[in-house]
Amino acid sequence: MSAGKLSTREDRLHRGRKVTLAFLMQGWGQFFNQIVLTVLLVIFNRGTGGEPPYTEFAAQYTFRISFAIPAIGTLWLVYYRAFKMKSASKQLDKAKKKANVTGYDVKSLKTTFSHFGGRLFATSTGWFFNDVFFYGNKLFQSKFTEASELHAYTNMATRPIYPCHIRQP
Amino acid sequence: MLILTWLPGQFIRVISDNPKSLLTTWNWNLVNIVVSLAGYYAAALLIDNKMYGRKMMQQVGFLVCFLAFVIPAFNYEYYTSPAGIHSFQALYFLSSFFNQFGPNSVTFLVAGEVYPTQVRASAHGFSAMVGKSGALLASVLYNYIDTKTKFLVVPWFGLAGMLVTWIWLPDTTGLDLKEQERRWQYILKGKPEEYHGIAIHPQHLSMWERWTGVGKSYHPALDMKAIIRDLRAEWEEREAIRAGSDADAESANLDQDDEEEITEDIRNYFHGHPPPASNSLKGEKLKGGGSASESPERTSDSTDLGISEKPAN
Repeated sequence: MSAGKLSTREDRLHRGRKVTLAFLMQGWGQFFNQIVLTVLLVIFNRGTGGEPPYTEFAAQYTFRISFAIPAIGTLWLVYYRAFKMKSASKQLDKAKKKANVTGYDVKSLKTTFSHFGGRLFATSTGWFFNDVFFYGNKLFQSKFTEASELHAYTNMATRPIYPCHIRQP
Repeated sequence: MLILTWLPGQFIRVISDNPKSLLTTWNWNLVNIVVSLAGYYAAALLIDNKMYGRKMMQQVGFLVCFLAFVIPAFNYEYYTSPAGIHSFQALYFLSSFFNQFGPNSVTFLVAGEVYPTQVRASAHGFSAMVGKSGALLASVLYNYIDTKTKFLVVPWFGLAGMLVTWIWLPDTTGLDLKEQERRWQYILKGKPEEYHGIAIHPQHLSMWERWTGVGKSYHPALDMKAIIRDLRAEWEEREAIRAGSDADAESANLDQDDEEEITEDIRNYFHGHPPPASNSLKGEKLKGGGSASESPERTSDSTDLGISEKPAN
């Protein structure tokens, strides 16, 4: 399908789903990132099963390899976008041609601020408020984990859910 | 903890200095990611549903995040004690789920959809920039306040997000983005009130835009006339080109993408032989799935108008 077919029925009815299904790959990315981190730590923090104390060696290799793996995908994406997506800007070019614009459409940008100010306010502050939550949520997690760990130790009747709760002697 | 992977130095320090097991934290993080994934899929399932859609999803998502943090904020001791820890956990996972099945999926999508093509990338980038400053605020601020205070500060961002969405965000669920472009041409010409199409249907406007009267010029019948006028101009232009380069089969092929907009039925209508009205919809259905001419609505529109326009001539 060409990038710019915007007026089809398919697009109106399933556009959101398509974008969201692409976006949710972020979730799978986090999932595999976490698994890779865990496996790498267990491998490089030798003989401890991933438990502390952690060595400088383990930390270095864990984080470097965990970054190198997604870099492969990123490089492929750069290649794909540069050489394989021929019609990526097709629809934009059409719209520009219709409005007799060459280069960047400065007039449209200005008009966006004057005419769609409310929309810009909604999409930017909405994103802002969400990100305070999204990243805030991640930070809470440490406190939350502390609390649940505390629980695991104070309430011995509760069986630990994860094998990693059982410390090596 | 995932955020720490951003900063290699920090990451190494955290790993090396941490006397406690990282795996505990990381396993909980994995659980949280799975909960988020469920949220992503729920969002994909309902984001195009006209009964729920983007705007409602974002509002509900913000609301649940607000509740999930404001409840423990005012009863912090209980929720962090062994007795309350499971409720605390449940609230935490609820907020993760509704963050994905809400603003985190929707903000990304609507920041592109509510603008016309010419400025879509710029406007999306602007929104992302403001958005990421929220992430920056959170990461910096949280270094200066203790956890209990964080719980008192953060919920209100969710509430504010819900209100902003409610008042200023238009709902683009099911809207043809081509209409956004059509409307934009009228706006650029300085005559926004001459656009009468679906992009300013009250359902596709924000509450703010409804208050300020943007939706007043919505008029489907006038819009259909405008569409026919524009299509006729386009068709005439194309016929002129065709006549100029007669028998030039290759240039016709190059233009194939543009041809999709002017279907066989539209061409017939302008030539003065509208197809039998009763057949037009059936014909589309029989073709069903074929990608050659995928605009059944527009086609039937022109046929309907063909009948009503005739007496005027």
